[in-house]
Amino acid sequence: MSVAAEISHGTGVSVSITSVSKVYDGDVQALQSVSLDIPAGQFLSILGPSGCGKSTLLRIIAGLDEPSTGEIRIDGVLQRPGDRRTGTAFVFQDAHLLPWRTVLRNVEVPLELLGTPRQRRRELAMHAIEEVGLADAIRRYPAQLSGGMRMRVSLARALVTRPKLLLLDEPFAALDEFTRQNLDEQLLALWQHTGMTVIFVTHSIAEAVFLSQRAAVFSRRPARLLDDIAIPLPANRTIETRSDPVFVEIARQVQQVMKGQVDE
Amino acid sequence: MSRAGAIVRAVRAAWPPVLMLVVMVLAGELIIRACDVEEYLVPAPSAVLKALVDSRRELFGSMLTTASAAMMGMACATVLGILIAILLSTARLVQRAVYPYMVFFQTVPVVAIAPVLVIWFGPGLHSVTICALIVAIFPIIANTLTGLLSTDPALREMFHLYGASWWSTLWKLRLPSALPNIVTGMRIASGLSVIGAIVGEFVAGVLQGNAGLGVEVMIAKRIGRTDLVFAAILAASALGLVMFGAINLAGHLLLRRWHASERN
Repeated sequence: MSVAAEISHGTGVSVSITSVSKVYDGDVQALQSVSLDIPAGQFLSILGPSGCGKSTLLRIIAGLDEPSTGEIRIDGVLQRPGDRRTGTAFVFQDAHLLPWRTVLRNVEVPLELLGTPRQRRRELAMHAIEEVGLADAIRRYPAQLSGGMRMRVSLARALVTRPKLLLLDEPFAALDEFTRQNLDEQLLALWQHTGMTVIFVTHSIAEAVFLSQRAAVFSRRPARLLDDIAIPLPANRTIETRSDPVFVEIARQVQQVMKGQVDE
Repeated sequence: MSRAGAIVRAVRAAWPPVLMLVVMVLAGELIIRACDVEEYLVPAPSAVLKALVDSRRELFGSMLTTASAAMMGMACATVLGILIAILLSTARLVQRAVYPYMVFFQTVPVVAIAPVLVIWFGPGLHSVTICALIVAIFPIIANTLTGLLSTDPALREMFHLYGASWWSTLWKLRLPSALPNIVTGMRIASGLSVIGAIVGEFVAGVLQGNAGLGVEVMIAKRIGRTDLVFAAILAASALGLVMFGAINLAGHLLLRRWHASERN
């Protein structure tokens, strides 16, 4: 009966973006005719300079914003504005937890809103919290956690409904390098064992190359797709991957594309 | 050991105002005695103290009468104020239409409204309670409204993504995040409700039994017992302090785990 149980584990959805443009207030253009096809289960990074409009694209995919023109299909189904994207979870730039709730109760929020029964809710939340390694902190309040821990709670909250599509908007940008690397590895492991489709917005080249199978590189505002780069690194990636010749070569290639952009 | 430390700190924090009080009271006593001021003009502190002790039963009974009107007014103002704020926060148009009149209404002195209340509800507890309500409600509406309108937009979007109803968004997100503002509004309202009750008693109080501190002041004035007037004023301030303290304590208990204002 529970919604979470209906969503089977282990399958992602495909996302297809066709000629999506976004114009704000009639004159500020954020996105210029973006088309991208993301097969089910892929880990895609969206790379681009800060404020270029890549977050806007993610928000349009999530249904938080409407495209001015163009369309989004999820598993082939056209998404109409106002439709609720079931099976989609969104991770914001900051943790955005409910400060009056403990870690456990924060992770339960999505299930509460979806009407999952209490017992099942607790089980699923505990499982998601264990997955991000915070089982010891379930009774703590957000104010008692470090920035990295808060972000992990946010991640657990997104994963608790077992989404088929996970959208992340520069989720670890505010964290220190060490914590970030740690969370990157954790996210990668979660992606591998869930099989969900992940779209990860970042402005860090190293992070994008380390995490994803594919990087879509965007120009400055209005964001256009500049390059679509496959990243043929092995699935199992560790800190050593960063010194792998393939990693270095792709990072250089991406840098080249982005540098051209800055000089333009 | 930490308890002893706490006492030392409390004494250190408290001695300047306490010393000030002692100096003022002694100086007042000396000056009034030396200048031989008539007691009905300015009673010496010792005379006020004597009146306070001699009439303690009467004053205490009156204080309870005033307290019940103030507390009932306060309770109604809280419930009604929060409901009005919710209503105002739901539609920008309602807010724009109604808010100016509320500000206007707030500037009408309660002393001027009290006679009207007597015409409608007759003298006594009802009218006095409504006076307390009228002065206490505005800070609650204004603060609650601010709180309801400043909900974290990312969290609202998250609730939207999971298809939260208007009701659960209110109950699980907007009201709890407005709680610090509600407590602030109640803190201001607690003192005002005592003022409202006493002003109400001036106009709408009844001369029987434990008549209330406002009535006490009027009677004492009429019979030339200025010492008793001052004693009643002291009792009224004590009541205001108790109410303020109670709200503060409640606010602390509600917010201590999660809100910066109450953590340490």
